[in-house]
Amino acid sequence: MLDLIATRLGTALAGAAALVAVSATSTRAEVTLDVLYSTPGTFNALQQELAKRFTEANPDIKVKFRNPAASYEEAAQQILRDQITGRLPDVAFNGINQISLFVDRGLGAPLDGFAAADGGLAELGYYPTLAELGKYKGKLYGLPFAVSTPVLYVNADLLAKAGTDVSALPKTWPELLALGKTIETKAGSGATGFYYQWEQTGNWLFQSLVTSKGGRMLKADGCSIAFDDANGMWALKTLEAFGKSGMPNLGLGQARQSFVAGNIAILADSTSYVAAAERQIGGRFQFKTVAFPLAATDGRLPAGGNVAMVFAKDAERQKAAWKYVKFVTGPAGQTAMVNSTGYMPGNEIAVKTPDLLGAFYAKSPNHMTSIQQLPVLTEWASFPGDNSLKIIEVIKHHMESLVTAKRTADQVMPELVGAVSGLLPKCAG
Amino acid sequence: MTVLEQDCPRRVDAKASFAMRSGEHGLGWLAVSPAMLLLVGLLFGPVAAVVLFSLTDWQLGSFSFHFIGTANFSTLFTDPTFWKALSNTLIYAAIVVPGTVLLGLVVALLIEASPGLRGFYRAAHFLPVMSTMSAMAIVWGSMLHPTIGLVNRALVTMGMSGVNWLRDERTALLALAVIGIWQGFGFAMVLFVSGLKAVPQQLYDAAAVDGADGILDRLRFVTLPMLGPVTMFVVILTAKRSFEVFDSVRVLTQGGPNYASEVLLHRLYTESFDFLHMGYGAALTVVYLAIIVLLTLTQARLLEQRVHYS
Amino acid sequence: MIARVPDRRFAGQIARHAVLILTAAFALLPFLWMVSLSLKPPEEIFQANFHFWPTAFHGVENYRVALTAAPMFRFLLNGLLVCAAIFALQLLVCIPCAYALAKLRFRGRDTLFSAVLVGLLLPPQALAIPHFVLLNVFGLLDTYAALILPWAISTFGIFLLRQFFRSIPDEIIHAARLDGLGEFEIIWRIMIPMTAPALAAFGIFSVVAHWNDLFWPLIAVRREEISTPALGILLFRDDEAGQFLGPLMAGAVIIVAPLLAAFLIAQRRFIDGLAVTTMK
Repeated sequence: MLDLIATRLGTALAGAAALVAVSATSTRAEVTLDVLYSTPGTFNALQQELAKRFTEANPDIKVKFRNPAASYEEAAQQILRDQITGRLPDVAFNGINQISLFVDRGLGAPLDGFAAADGGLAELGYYPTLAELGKYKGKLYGLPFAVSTPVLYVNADLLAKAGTDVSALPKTWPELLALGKTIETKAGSGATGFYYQWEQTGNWLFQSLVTSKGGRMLKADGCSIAFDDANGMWALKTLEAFGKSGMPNLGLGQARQSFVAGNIAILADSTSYVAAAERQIGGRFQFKTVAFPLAATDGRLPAGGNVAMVFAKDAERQKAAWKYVKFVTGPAGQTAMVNSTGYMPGNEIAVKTPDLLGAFYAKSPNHMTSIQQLPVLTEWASFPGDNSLKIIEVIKHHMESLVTAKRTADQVMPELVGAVSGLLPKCAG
Repeated sequence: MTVLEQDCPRRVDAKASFAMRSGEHGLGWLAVSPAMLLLVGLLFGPVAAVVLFSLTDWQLGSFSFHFIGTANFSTLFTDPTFWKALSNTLIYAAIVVPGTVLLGLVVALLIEASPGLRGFYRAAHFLPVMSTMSAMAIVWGSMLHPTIGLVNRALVTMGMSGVNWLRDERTALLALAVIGIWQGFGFAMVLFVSGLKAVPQQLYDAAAVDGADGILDRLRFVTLPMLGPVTMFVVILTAKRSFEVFDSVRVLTQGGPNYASEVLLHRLYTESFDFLHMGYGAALTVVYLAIIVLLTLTQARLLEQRVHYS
Repeated sequence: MIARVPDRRFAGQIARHAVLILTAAFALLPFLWMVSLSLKPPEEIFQANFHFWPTAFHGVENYRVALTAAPMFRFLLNGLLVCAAIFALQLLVCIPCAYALAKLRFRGRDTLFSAVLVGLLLPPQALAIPHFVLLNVFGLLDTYAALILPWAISTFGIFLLRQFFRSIPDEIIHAARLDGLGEFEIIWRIMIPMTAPALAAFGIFSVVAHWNDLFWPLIAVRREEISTPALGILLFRDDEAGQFLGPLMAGAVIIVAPLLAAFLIAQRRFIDGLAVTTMK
């Protein structure tokens, strides 16, 4: 029996050794790219499909995925850990707000050279606004893979119960809240009139409120707080109003499940879920998307979603990585992406070509809402320094206290500003 | 081989037994050496390393460090999240330990009271113990969904309103505790059953002779005292496991809402591996270790004094 | 007089069954819910009324999605591999040590045993940081070795086996020595067979603990190919989309089924094994 044990042990060790050897292989004729993405529920099928198609077109480059991270924040944490243990992925799909986080730590390869060699970004078809979002300190680090905007998901059937129509949907938050309450009384038990996905990753829907009023999270220098002004206060007061109205504390996944079950009338969420929602709803009720209300004429919305970044340091691997990110963010990749999710494409060629997406948008008005908000897109801010991720958590906790009506905006503002300032590094001047 | 060489001249007399003993000596060391090496390398060495980390400013990946004394500990002890995690863990244990032990005991008593369907009941109650908690936590999560989950649907049909179990600060920890009891009471039950089986029938007979004939009497005078050692074991084990709660927290609440369900081990994981605050993580580890060791030892001491051995 | 006793006994039986059915239902409910949802199409999962059995059977689709979206069988295989390797290593290390602690006399034996007892108190999660650092230094993170090596020693195993070895009478050992058996042969041919129940119990503890472990694989592993079951199911779950509740439950069933099946088949062994360890 001992030899049985020994053989088993031997095989296991040999297997382990082989795996270590295989993963150490880098520059041969064949390159295997190590890729990390997030939110597998949305992207699993898509990423695997794209990888398959890419390798068919480029047989000498294989794509292998790491365990996808549940969220952008988790992915960032993992990548930072990988930096320390020396095992960075070659390509990662990170939140648009995280480019600075990585570049400031010396991660991420500039892609300008590659883009120029292929004719430039405009030639490749990227929307100028979105391509801008992939830049940091003048250099290009990320190509837009899946872009999202905040939209309102509306259950037209529930609206009808309150006697309104989607076209008459109010455009201010207090009115939306009131409508929600009316719907709740008319629709009976189990229905939630209005829900706001405050828990969205990276405080995105908090930023949406601030920017929709014309405000900013950070000052232009990128390192001091700007949301402590009237616009920020308005955002906090709006969240406070949500809480006071008795909005339940659902959570990202639960709220979406509730919506597709027909239990929420108005849901403020990312457009990313639209395709999945349509599939889940399966025509059981009328589902429409409506633009996110802007609270000021100069109101903007932070572009959400993720960009493809290259972390490989070796020249050969970078070349292979560039080919891959160019493909997935190019017309073919973006067509597949839009068809399977609710995100906006970063590539204009895809949208303009009838064969690719041109016909799609005609058939799917719910996806168009996002595209129509393109002109008002602005950056999704992230805080500089070591505590970038921790700051997101801190802001999230303060938001939670507001939407659960535990505290008021007047109480939260000074605390929030204090906490975040404490976690920010000193400005470089 | 040395072993065989030493075996040959063995004879059963005093001189030989001395030789045997010194041969035994070497053999003993040989046999324990791998275990000893690993004990140091994988257990005690790491413990020492953690204590060391907690006293320095060493960061993962850097090659230098300086002793900063108890700075990490003062950061730890002035962090309200740590105290919240500590109190939550204590509350969790305070709910799970009695719940698990009592439920396990009651079920064991009932199962052993009669032969009907014993096998089925034992198996049914033990299934949760075998199941993978991370998967079952996902299942519990869907059962506790505020609108479409089983629990709230049942509450609604009974005329009460549903509760947002996992996202309400007042109930999140409680929900996790129920899940903890769910997973553990079958284990307690099995231990109690084996303890019950070991109670000799003569004791019951003797008690009957003395007039202790009814169910409650038997329980009070024979069964429960005889279960003393097993109960002690179950309590200590359950307490230790409740301090190690992690999977359900990670999968269902991630410590939220607003740290209402944050527990020590989850805090340790988040700070060490998500935020990479190694010094803080190490200090927290030292405190965690101290708590568990102290807790287990104290319990063993206390309970041993009160337990009756036959 | 006589008629009353059977009534009371009968009532007692009914009461016993009533309570036990309740507690058993509590234990089994999540499993039933899990299976039920794994067979239902999305519309039914989200609808207001609830039936256990789906009106439209969607099980094939759900399980198909679960099996294709994530390499479920791979996770199970990894679980098997890793647990087997861990247990094998543990046996290799613990048996000689337990034997020596139980039957041999050497200086430092009692100190060593005290060390083992102290080791019993240490929660393994507290060693995660140094284990992580150690494996990083050797470049072994994200490999099978990372999943297996930290568990090579089990103080529980040493303790358990030592207690059992002690219970074997010394005379048998002396007799064996007289017959010319070497120490290894004594362990192999006498100790192990005589303590088979303890070894089985230890095996069950070890396998169940490591099959279900989430904490360490979460830290040590980044690749799907070597992910173990507890980690694998999390890869499959996604809070943001929440769109695959049916397949998600199907995935949970696949992950949870093997151990449960093994348990149901070998119930006696499992439960006796547990009893055996507590007795010591």
